[in-house]
Formats: sequence, structure tokens, C-alpha cells
Amino acid sequence: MITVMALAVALLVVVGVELLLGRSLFKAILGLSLLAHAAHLLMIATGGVGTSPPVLDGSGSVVGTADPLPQALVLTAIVISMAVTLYLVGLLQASGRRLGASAVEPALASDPGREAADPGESDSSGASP
Amino acid sequence: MSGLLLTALVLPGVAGVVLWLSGSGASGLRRIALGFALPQLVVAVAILRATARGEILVHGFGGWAPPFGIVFVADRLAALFVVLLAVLLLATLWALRPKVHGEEAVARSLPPLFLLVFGLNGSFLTGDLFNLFVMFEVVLLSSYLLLQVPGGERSLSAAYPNIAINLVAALLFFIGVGLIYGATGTVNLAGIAEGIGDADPALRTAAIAMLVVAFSVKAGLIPFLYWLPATYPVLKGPVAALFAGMMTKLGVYALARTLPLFMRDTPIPSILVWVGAASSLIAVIAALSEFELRRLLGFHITSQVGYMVLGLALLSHATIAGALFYLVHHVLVKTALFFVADDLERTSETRDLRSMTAGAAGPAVAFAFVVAGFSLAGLPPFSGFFAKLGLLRGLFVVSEWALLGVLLVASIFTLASMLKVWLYAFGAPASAESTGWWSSAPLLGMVALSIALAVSAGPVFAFAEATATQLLQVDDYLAAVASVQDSRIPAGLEVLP
Amino acid sequence: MSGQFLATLVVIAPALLACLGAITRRPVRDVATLAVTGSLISSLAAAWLAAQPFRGPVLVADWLPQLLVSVSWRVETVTLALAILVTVIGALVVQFTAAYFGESRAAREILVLLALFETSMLGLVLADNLYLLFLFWEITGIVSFFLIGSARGDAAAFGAARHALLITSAGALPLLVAFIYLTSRTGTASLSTLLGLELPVAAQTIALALLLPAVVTKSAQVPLHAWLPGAMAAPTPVSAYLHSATMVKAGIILLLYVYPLLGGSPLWTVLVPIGAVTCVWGSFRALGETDIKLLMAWSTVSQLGLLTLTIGLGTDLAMRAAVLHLFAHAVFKAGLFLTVGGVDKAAGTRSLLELGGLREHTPRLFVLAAVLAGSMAGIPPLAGFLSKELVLKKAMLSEPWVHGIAISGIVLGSIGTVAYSSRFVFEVFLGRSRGAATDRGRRLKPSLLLAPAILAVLTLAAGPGAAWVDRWFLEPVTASVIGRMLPAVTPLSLWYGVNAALVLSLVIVSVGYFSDRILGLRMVPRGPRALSGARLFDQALDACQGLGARFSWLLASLHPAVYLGLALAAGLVATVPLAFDALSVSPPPAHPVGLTTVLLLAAVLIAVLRVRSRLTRVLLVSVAGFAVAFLYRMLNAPDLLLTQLLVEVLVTIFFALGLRGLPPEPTKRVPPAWRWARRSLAVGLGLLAGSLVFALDRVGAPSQVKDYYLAAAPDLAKGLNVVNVTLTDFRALDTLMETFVVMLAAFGVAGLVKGREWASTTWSCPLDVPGQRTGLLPGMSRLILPLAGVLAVSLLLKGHNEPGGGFVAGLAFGIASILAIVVAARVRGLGSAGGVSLAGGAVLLVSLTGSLLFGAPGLTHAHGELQILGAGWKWHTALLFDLGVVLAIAGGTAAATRALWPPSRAPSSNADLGAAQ
Repeated sequence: MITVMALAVALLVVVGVELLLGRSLFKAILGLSLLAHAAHLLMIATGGVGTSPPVLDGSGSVVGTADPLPQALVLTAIVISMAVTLYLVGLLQASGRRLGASAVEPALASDPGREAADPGESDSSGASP
Repeated sequence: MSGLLLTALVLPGVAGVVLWLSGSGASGLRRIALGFALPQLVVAVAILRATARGEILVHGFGGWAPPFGIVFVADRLAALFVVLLAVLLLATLWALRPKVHGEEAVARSLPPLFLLVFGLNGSFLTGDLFNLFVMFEVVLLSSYLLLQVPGGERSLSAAYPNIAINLVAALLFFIGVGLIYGATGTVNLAGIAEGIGDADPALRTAAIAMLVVAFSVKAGLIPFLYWLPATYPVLKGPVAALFAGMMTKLGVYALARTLPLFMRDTPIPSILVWVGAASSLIAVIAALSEFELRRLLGFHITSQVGYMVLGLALLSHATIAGALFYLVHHVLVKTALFFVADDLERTSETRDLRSMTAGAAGPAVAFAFVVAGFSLAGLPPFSGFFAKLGLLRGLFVVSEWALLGVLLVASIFTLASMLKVWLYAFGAPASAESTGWWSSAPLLGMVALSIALAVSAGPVFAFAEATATQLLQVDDYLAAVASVQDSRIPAGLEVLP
Repeated sequence: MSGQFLATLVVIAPALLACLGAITRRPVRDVATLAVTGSLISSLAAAWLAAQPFRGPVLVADWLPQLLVSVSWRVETVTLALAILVTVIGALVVQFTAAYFGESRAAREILVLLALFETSMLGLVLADNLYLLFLFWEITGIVSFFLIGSARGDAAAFGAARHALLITSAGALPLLVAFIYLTSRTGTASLSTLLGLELPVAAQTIALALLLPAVVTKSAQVPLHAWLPGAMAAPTPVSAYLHSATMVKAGIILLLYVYPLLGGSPLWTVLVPIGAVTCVWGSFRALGETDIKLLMAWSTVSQLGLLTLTIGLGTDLAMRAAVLHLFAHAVFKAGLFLTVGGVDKAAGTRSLLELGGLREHTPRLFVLAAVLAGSMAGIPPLAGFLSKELVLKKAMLSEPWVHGIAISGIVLGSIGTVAYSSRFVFEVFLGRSRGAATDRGRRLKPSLLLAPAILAVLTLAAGPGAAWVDRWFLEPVTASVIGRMLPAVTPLSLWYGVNAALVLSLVIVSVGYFSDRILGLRMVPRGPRALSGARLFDQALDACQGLGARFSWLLASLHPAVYLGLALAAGLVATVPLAFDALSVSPPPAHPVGLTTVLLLAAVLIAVLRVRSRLTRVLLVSVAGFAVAFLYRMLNAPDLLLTQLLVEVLVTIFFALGLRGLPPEPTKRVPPAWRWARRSLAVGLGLLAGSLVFALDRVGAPSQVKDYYLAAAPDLAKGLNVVNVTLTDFRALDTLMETFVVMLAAFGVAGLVKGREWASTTWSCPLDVPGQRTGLLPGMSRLILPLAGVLAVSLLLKGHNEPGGGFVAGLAFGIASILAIVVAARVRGLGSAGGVSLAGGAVLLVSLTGSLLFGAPGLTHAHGELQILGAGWKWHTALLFDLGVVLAIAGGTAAATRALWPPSRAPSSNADLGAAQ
């Protein structure tokens, strides 16, 4: 099982990084969720592999039960990365509407080109009556 | 007593929910917010007073004794950060005025602002590594929300750099926690400190490296700082001030907490020292070329975080004390400078120094800038001088001559860019119809605090030294955590109708 | 009156009174009067102290005791004498300034700054604590910055001011280090105590080496002198005070102070060449100047060189000469600067090319100028003659090589001095007036003549009263400088008989006069670049800016991917050792089913890289997610399986909504080099991460909590699903915070997409969907929510003992509501999604604090049995907690979806959106 996990992690990381470092926000989102999978599998690996799930039958025998802590942590992490993904999709949608083509290709805010024409500029300087 | 810790966490959470639910207008929300921020400060000060006496407050959630449950721990370090945050929150709310910054912006800022504090307080107080990770996420998400508030294209395009690097950091943090758990069998900080000795060296080093990279990203150290100058110019002025004061310090806090606890016997700190040195020098030189005020100040943040990190990473009493004192000074002064930036940008309606109308901001702001700017450059008689002196003395004690030189050179460059700001923003005599003293009261408040710090340098430095001692005496921390007992509600508690 | 009080009074009186005047908005005249009074008060206090027998340090207060910083004054004859000098000249300059500017806003500012400067200078002179001395040292620089730049809006003035401040404070940094060195070596920061100590020569040399830059910069020694002529951008009275009489003397004063401590170092002699070069260079440059103020500035440089040279001789008698010349110079140079100010007022110009014959207009000014200039040139019987004589004599006593440098330096410099002094006098006041300027020259107000007159009298009286000066001033001051009584020396006098020194000074005077009047010597030595420090300084600053631009580009302007890759690499590089010993052993055989899963995963992932359509990519990624979920199943993590499945479903739907109407992917090809770098990084990181699994398997430590959890869950927490118990009980705080993360994300999406529409009230986004449709699908979909509700409740209820629980239930319900929204059934009874989510948050906060009522810590659960109708109903507060989670998650996801649906007409509503649907 260890080998399987190792392979899975390696695959996920390779493709995840490839996507994350691609020049598009959309790809980056996908890449991040793949990397998250890899991280979760790694976390499970820290607990070692049990023979039975950490759902007890009340009999009191806990031999070979999987470590519940990593599973709990991973469950938390899964939901967090879901939340982040939701947010990023929202960002993708919003910037797609506001920025057009420049949105899907992430650029730094310091782009001199963008500073010039920025509607947010005037109102964020707070001089609104 | 330990209820204080819970209160410090709960207050901002409740505030966030209440603010989001209440339908009242911006000024009404602001009143509610202040209503929560004041008790926040009271609680923080109470914690500080308790810890200043040397005791360490603990709170074991769920009544489970560590390492089985999550525990909150407040020693001097945590208390210091909680208090600074409470002060900054108050100042920010004071400065964030609907009339000035727009009804909608204020209304949208307040709830996430408090959830940010929610996460930050949690991060400062928690004694559990994974819990720290979750707290970081809360901070992260709320900061994204704040980043959107100004609206406009720039705040959208600034979002990605900020989010991406922080997500990568979170990823590394998570894996790091995993490796730590694999190496020591616990995620409780105290437990890690006890178990790290017997852990496999290679695994240990790998885990710690990941954590340190994650924290360095938060702290905006070189080469992970690119999100910082991209973000801070976009935020609403006062919120940017809070960020400048606290966000990068979250990384510094995490380092200050973990370095002495369980990173000592790895090569990581010695590397971190030089990362800090490089940050302090390179970033300040980079700032010389900037003309967008807040970007310039952003680079300075990295530079001074570099000071603190190298002080902390040297792991010697003198340097840690110096770094902590420097941190207090830095938080106050940097916040003040961002308030100044906000004032300047509003009075001359531009972010670029070159197109600012010199002297438009009025004598109050000019005075504040003189104090804050020269203080930042470490010139006497301002707080920065004593901060610099403390660090230099520390480096002297451990005879790190090269670092000493780096600090000296960096401080000259800092002075140079402060003078540049002075030229463009205040180079001409103040115009008559400039903003009065009251309108820049929060700013003057921060400046007053910085002056007070300079005057009462003795006591504060004593506190910093005590904090350093406490950080280096890990046993006290462990003992305090160990003192948490199982305190469950007796099973079968009958509540009959 | 106590020493503490008096000494402190000496320091603060001027600033105190002046600020008082400024704050109370008095007219300039009154402010000036107050400032003068302040100066006189402090000089009287100083005189009183001098009359007292007490000598030594007085501690006023500790400031930063840990670092030995304290407020303490050094009551010594020399410090008091200097204090009196500073205050007397201060008072005169203030009086002159008020007369010079008249009533104006600038005048008020300048007067206050002058008073502040006087105080800081007094502090510098009197400070006993080294750090206090440094503090005042820097403040003089800061105040001088504002005085030079006081011509606000004048770029040149600012440039000069910046140059001065940067150079001097750069020079001051080693000084700080020197002080830290001395304190940490000797354990005391008190100058008085230090002077009593005997440092080894090595230590002396180190300290001196660190201290020299401060002296060279502050006292404008070549090659770091260029800021001083630049500082002439300041108003003339200011220059008279700061840049001739007081501040530029700080370096000299420091040298005098530390002479007993560091004088033993061989490095001390290096002051002689430095001083000699400065002395000569300054006087020659002065010869070349046509602006009389700049002429005076360069002459100051030269005189400072002379002083440094004299101190460099390093004998007690040399100190005696230096002290005398320091005071003499302060007096006549301040007077000369004020005279220049007078000339400027009278003639309206400072250029030698236009001036001339001013004597007719202002005869009195001419007399004063002649006296003061004569003193500068060293004409008997003036003070300047006395001091220069003394300097010459001492220089001759020094050992040969020093002797050579010193003598030649003094002689050449002094010749120049005589030359420009005579030029000043002759071309400004005598001869015919060139240029129109002086024709409209007007008589001067007597108030402008008062200060120079007093100074002239002082310099005049010194000659005849030489013996008196020697007895009451020079002897005691010198004694307190060198720290012991002087051996019997020939008393100071105008006439020592014919000796080499006398001959030399006669030669100097005659040659100087000759070369100026007869030869009309006007050398304008531009000199090597190295010596014109101002240009060098600007070039350096520009270079730094260029470097900074490159840095900021590298650090913050490249494509984000670069920094992301950097962070990932940095994070994983430390795992290389682990990877190696993981590869050293052969991996255990792979589980066949697992292997097939991995193969599937591989196929899917490769496909993700290949395909073009966004939606296909999303679907493939979610398939990969399912594969991972299946792995969870194999790893005995049923809860993860459930959660992962639901999350994948939800995210996929969300993507489907979020991808509408986006512009196409960028088609721009990335450069191959970049692509290869990315690929290799990806593969490398993949290998590292994969090998981590083996490493953890091999060297991992046993869990400290597992067994306790497995035991405590059923007994104490009354739950059989240990994962769920962990989430709701052991580590409930994680769950709570993370639920807030989901809420934040959801509201973030709403805020992002709807923007201002839901400005502050994100939470109130209605779940009700407009556009009632009819037909089968909506009809069926009416059932979605009720069914989902039942499912969610069951998942929630059994969660504590079987796979399921709050997250799963919440996600299930969230998906249901999304479906309901997507198929546009009218959704009633839920009010606002965000509201639900916040309600969930509220519930969580309640259960966070509720247990406090029972005296238990936060998030402590209780359970028991409730007797209703005879039947026992088990209850557990963990259920309440989980309910909060359900509400928050379901509401949050629903709110986010609602925000994306229906696609709102965004502010920049583009028509292609409509087309996209």
C-alpha cells in the first residue's frame, strides 16, 4: 500500500506543479487542488496504514485500527481546500468579467500598464464625497 | 483566569458574526465594531498583566489534557502580540471613517476585519501546530475579503499573487505538520518540543524546513516577498496600516514561537539568519527605486522583518530581546507610516510620490512623518534608535560583525528613502487649508505611542528581555502545558424538564 | 541648587523658552527675546557651576539601564567652557537672526530650530553618558537638516541638506559601534569613568578607528568635507552658528574629550596628514571662491583642518593650542559670517565680482570685518595671532616626519588664509564699487551690528589680555582636557621674543598679503574628482537607485510562477537526504487493486495535461479526486471517502457555474527553456514527495495520541466513530475555525461576483430563485431539498458512531440546494443562505462558550439521557456542535452558488456572457 501511495503522491505532485506553474489562473486552481490531494495522502501516510477503519464496533478491540488523528486532520484540510477552491473559482469568474483576457493569465498588480487605467484608483483614494 | 484566553478568541468571532448580521449602516457598524474593540483591548491588557508577572496562562479546550486536546497558551510573547493587535485594531477602526473612506467600503471591511483578528488572536494563543495551520487559513481568507473591498481591477489582479503564494505556503505548512507528526507522534507544540530530540534527524530537518519556508512566506522574507508590495498599495488605507503592522508579524510570531521550542538543534536557524540579513539589506535597496509610497514602505517592511528574524534566529538572549523590542517599535511606527501614506494619498489623490503636491498634507501629518520616518531610520531620539541599539548590542554580544555591518548599512538606506518621501510629500511649506490635527488623530495616537516607547524604553526593554528568557527556558512552557488537567463535565449530567 | 538641576537647566533652557514662545504664538521679536534669555540663563548657570568646586558626572535619570543608557551630565571645566561658548554665540546669533529676518513665518520656524539646535549642542557638549552624547550628536544633524532645507521647495537646498544628513549620520554609525565597543569592553558608558581607565593600545586603536569616520564627516575633513560648502544653502545666520562656530566643531570636541583615553594609540597621528590636507585644500578653494559666504565656508574647512592637525600632534601642549584656537576660531568665524550677512543686507549681493567700496556705506561694518578677518589671518595682537603662534610652536616640537607634514600644512594653509582674508577685506570694503549692486547699498540697522561688534571686541581683547586669558581660561580648560595639571609652561603672551614661530608667522603674513594684493593670486583648483565629494555622493546615490530598481524587478515584478516554484523548491529541498535513503531500499510490492487505481490516476492526469477544453479538464480532475477517494477507502478512511466524494461533486458543479463566459485560455506559447525548467522542477518535486511516503514509513515515530483516542472515544466521549469524535470533541476547535473558513470563502465569492450589489449585506443574498419554470424537472426538483434534508439529518445523527457527521451532512445538503438552484425550482423557507451559514457560526460560538456555564473549559461536551414519556433519549452536545457545522457549510455553499447563479449582469456587463449561456 505504501508503494501505491508513494506513486499516487508522486504523480499528483508532478502534474500539480506543472499546472500550478502554468501561465493561467484556471490551470493554477486545478494544480493547487491536485497538490492538495498529494498533501492529504502524505498526511495519511504519517499515521501508517491500519487494517480496519477507526470506527469501533464497541467490542473494545482496537488492534490494527487506523490512526484516527491524521484522518481527522485530512478531513479538515479537505474542507479547507474546498473552500479555497470555491473562492478561487469565484475570483476566476469575477476577474474574467472585469479584466477580460488579462484575468486568466495572472499578472502582478505592479504592471505599469494596469495602474494607468484603473477605475478602482479614484474611489479607493477615498476622495468620494 | 484562563477564561481570558477564550474571551480573547471569542470576542472578535462574535463581533464578525454580529457585524455581518446587523443591517445597520456603515457608521452604525463602526460603532458596534468599536464596542467590541474596546473590551478586546481590555482583555488583551489583562492577559499582558498576568503574563508580565511571569505566569503562563493555559486553556485546554474540550477539557482534554494535552496532547489529546487543543490547548491555548499565553506566555509573554503571545500576550505581547495580542496587545499590539488590539491596539492596532482600535487605531484602524478609529481611522476607518465612512465619511472619508466611503460608506460601502467601511461596511464591507468591518466583518472580515474582525474575523481577521479572530484568526490572528487564535494564531498567537494556540499551543497546537495544526490548529495554528487552521488559524492561518482563517487569517488568509479574511485578508482576501479585505483585499476585495476597494474593488476595481487592481484589487482583483492583486488578489492572485497574494493568494497563490499563501496557498503554496499553506501546502508546505500542512505537509510540514504531517512530517512533524510522523517524526514525533504529536502536533501539540509542547509535545513536539519534547519529542523532537529523539526524532529522526533527516525527517526532522525536512519537516522544519517546510515550516520555516511557510513562515518566511508569511513574514515576507526574501525571496518570497513579491506578494507584499503587490498587495499593500491596494488595500484601503487604514486596513493596509493594520496589515503592515500585523500580517507579516504573524510569520515573525510563528518563527519566534517555534524556533526556540523545537528548531534549535537543526541547521535551519543558521540559514535563516542569513536570509534575514539578505532581506534587511536587499529589500531596503530595492525600496530606494520605488516611487509608489506604499510599495516603498512595503519593501521596508521586508527589510525590518529581516532585522527581527536574524535577531530571533541567532537564538541568543541578547539578540532575541533586541529583536522583540525592535518588533514593538516597528509595529507602531510602520502603522503610523501607513496612516501617513493614507492621508497623503487622499489629500493629493495619487499613490505616486512624484505626482504628489508637497505640503498638501498639513503640519500634523508632517510632524507625524518626521517622528515616524526618522524613527524607522533608527535616528535618535526616537524609538527606532533604541530598537537599533538593542539589536546592535545583541549582535555585539554574539560578535556577529558581518551582520552588524549589514544592519548599519541598511539603516542608512532607510534614512535615504525616508528623506526622499520627505522631499516629495512635505518638501514645500504646508498649505493653509490642509487637514487639521483632529482628522489625523489616530495617526498622532500611534506616533504618541512610539514616542512613549522611546521615553519608557527601559521598562519595555526589560519586558523584552524577560520574554527572551522565557522563550529560551522551554521547560517553563512545557510545565505550563503539562499543568492542564482533564476537566470534563461529569458524564450523565441530568437536565430534566 | 543641585548639580543635576543646574546642568539640566544649562541644556534645556534655550529650547524650552523658545518653544514656549512659539507655542503661545508670540511675535518673532518675543520669541527671539525668549530664546536669548534662555541662552543667557544657561550660560549663567554654566558659569555658576564653573565657579563651584564640584567636578565630575551627575546622574539625572536612568533611561535604558539594560543598555547602560542614562541621562547624566559631565560637569568639567572644559564642558562648561564650551557650554558658555555655545550659549553666548547662540544668544548673539539669535539676536542677529531676529534682526536679519524681521517678522515672518520662516523666522519663527528658524528661531525655534536654532534654539533646538543650541540645546542639542549643549547636550552634546555636556553629556557624560556615551549614548546620550551620541543621541545629541545625531540630533544636531537632524536639526541642521531642517535648517539647511528650511528654504522649503528649493530642490538645491534639499539636496544639500540630504547630503549633509546622510554623510554625517553615515559617519556616526561607526561612532555608535565604537561606543558599544567601549561600553561592552569596560562595562561602563560614563565618559568620566572611562577617562579614568587605562585601555590597552590595541583596544584604543580599534575604538579610535571606529571613531574617526564620525570626526572626519562631522568636522568636514577631506575627503568627506563637501557637505559643508553645500550647507551654505542655509540662511547666513544659521551658517554662522552651525557651520562655523558650533556643530562642525563637534568632531574636534569629541577628539579633545577622548584624548586621555585614546591618545596613546599610534593611529592618533593619522590626524596630522588628514588635517594638513584639509587645511591646505580648504584655504586654496577659499581663494578661488567669489561668493564671500562660500569663501568663509571653505575657510572654515581649512581652519577645522588646522585644528585636527594640531590635535593630531598628540601632546598635552598641542591640546592647549587646539583649545585656544578652537575658541578663537569660533569667535572670529561666527563674527565673520554675521558680517557676511550684514554685507548681504547692505549690498544685496555676496559676489566679489559686484562688491566693492562698501566702506562708504557701512564704515562700522568695515571696521568689524577688518578686525575679525585680521584675527583669522593671525595678525597681532588679535586672538587669532595668539592661537596660531601657539600651534606653530607645538608643531615644531613634534618628531621629524610629522614635523614636516604639520609645518608645511600649517604654513601653506595659513598663507592661503591670509590671502583670502585680505581679499575679503580689500575687495568688499575698499576700492571702487564694481557692478550696480553696491550703489543701492544702504546703511545697516545698528541691531545688525551688535552681534559682530561684541565678537570683534572679544577677539580684540584677547591679545592684550593674554596673561589673563591664560590664567583664567586656558590653563584650567587644558588641565581638564588632559586630565591633570599642566607642567610649568611659558605663559601665553603676545611676545615670546624672536623665535622660529614668530619668523614663520611674519613670513606667512607677508607672503599671503603679497600673493593676494601684488600677484593677485586667484588659483581656482578644481582638483581631482575624489575631492569634490558632492558629485561623488550623488553618483553613489544614483548607482544605488539603479541597483534598487534591478532588485525590485527581480523580487517583485517577475511572473508569480517563478516565486511559487522557488517556494516549493525551497520547501522540499531539505527532503533530498530522505529521498536518497528511501531509494536505497527496494519498495514493498504494490497492492494490485491500488496499483490499478494509480494507473487510472496516471491516465487521467496525463489527459488533464493534454486536453484543451476547460470543462473536460475539470471533469478529469474530479475523476482524479474520485480515484484519491477510492485510495482513502483502501486506507481504511471511510469518512474521508464520503467527504472527498461529496467535495468533488460540489466543486465540479461549482466549476461548471464559474467557468461561464470566461475569455479563452491564453494561447501564447511559453518559451521552451521556461517549459523545460518547469517540467524538470515538477518531476523533481514529484520524486521527492513520493519518497517522503517511504521515509515516513521507515523512520516515523509512533503516535502519542492514537491509543488514547481509541480508548477515550467510546468511554469518555461516547462515540464510536473516532474520526468524528476527534472532529467534534478532541479537536473541535479546528473544526470550528475551519467552518469559519468555509463561510468566509462563500461570502468572498458572493462579494467578488456580485460586488457592490450585495455590498455590506452579503449574508442576505436570497436563496429564492426568480424565473419560475414549469415542467417535469422543476417539478421533481421540488423533492430535492426535502429528500436532501432527510439524508443530511440521518448523516448528522449517525455521524458520531458511523461514517458521516457534520461536514458530510452539510456538504450533502449544500449540493442538494445547488441542484435545486440550478434547476431553478422555487426554493422557499430557507430565507437567506448566508444567514443560515451565519446562524451555524453562531451555534458554533455558543457551543464554544456554553460549557463555561458548567465551569468547564470551552468546547467541553456533555451528554446524558433525557426521560420523556418513560423512554430514555440519549443526548450529546456534540450533536449541537455538528448541527452548527451543517448549517454553516450548507448555507455557505448555497450562498456561494447563489452568487454565481444566475449570472448577474456584472458592472462591466459584456454581451458575450449572454451568448455564452
